Amino acid sequence: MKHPLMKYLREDWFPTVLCPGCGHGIVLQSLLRAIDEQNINVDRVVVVAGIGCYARLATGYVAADSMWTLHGRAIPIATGIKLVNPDLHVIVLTGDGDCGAIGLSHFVHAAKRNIGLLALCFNNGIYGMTGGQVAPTTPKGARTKMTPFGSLERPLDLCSLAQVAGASYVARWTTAHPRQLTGSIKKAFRNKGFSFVEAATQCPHTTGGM
Amino acid sequence: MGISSPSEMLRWFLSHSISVERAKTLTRDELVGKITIGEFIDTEQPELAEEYRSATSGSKAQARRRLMKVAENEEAGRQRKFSTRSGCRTTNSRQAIGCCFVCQARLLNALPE
Repeated sequence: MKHPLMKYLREDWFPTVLCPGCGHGIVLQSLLRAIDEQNINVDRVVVVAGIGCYARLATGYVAADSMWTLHGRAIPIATGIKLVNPDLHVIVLTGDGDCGAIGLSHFVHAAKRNIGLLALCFNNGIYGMTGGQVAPTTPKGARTKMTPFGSLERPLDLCSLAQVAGASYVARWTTAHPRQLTGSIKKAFRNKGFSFVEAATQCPHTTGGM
Repeated sequence: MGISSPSEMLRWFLSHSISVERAKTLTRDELVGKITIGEFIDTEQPELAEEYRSATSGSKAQARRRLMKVAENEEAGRQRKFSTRSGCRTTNSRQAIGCCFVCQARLLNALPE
């Protein structure tokens, strides 16, 4: 018996490249469950991703049209897709480094424009793919490769930033709250404007080793 | 954090999460080490793609009308050009050149079976 969400995945891409214990799979399951429960035709879905561990979810595993873009540039490309074809469900998968560092201005301006995108942020608080460097959302005091004595900075609150910039739906959950996360993604699909849903995920491979 | 077990990390998420409502009562220093969870905002505002579509729909129709007019002028000019150069039976010329329906019908009839 197959998993009911397997119809949204490309089985020939399995096994995944994600590390053991990674939380990205929980977030992906919440996204696919929201698509399933909202009866969204996956042929009308476009998934756009930047650079990060999560990006393989968009361009490999999800059986939808997808685009793997430059680091931090997923939102402007998704904006173009949405403007050309407003009937599509355009989902931007982004990470804390992708969205909160190199792509921060695109993120703020997308929220300001209230363009009808769903930005789903995989926030593991660290640059996991490149080996565990400090990220804008790294918690204060957390040890990384770049901060062996603990991060001295307060983390950037992406949700508050999106709210202030003008996004019409903003929510944050963790991988310990998968049902609430699914509910928020469903609400984001129903929202006409820019929706930002942040999912705090664990990265035991890099964060846990510090 | 120094936690290497994924399940311990999930428990850490649960124990360090606070709701948006509760976070509003805390100071910035008190929020250090906490994860604020919940819905921050849920409002209806004008969406850019819809506004873009409504703003450009008038100009698109205008552009389409302009293009149609240009095409009609070109077609009329082409017909005039052929008609005057080679002549047309509808304009008292004996040669059917396919510039109008009459010519085309005559050309089709002239083709061998």
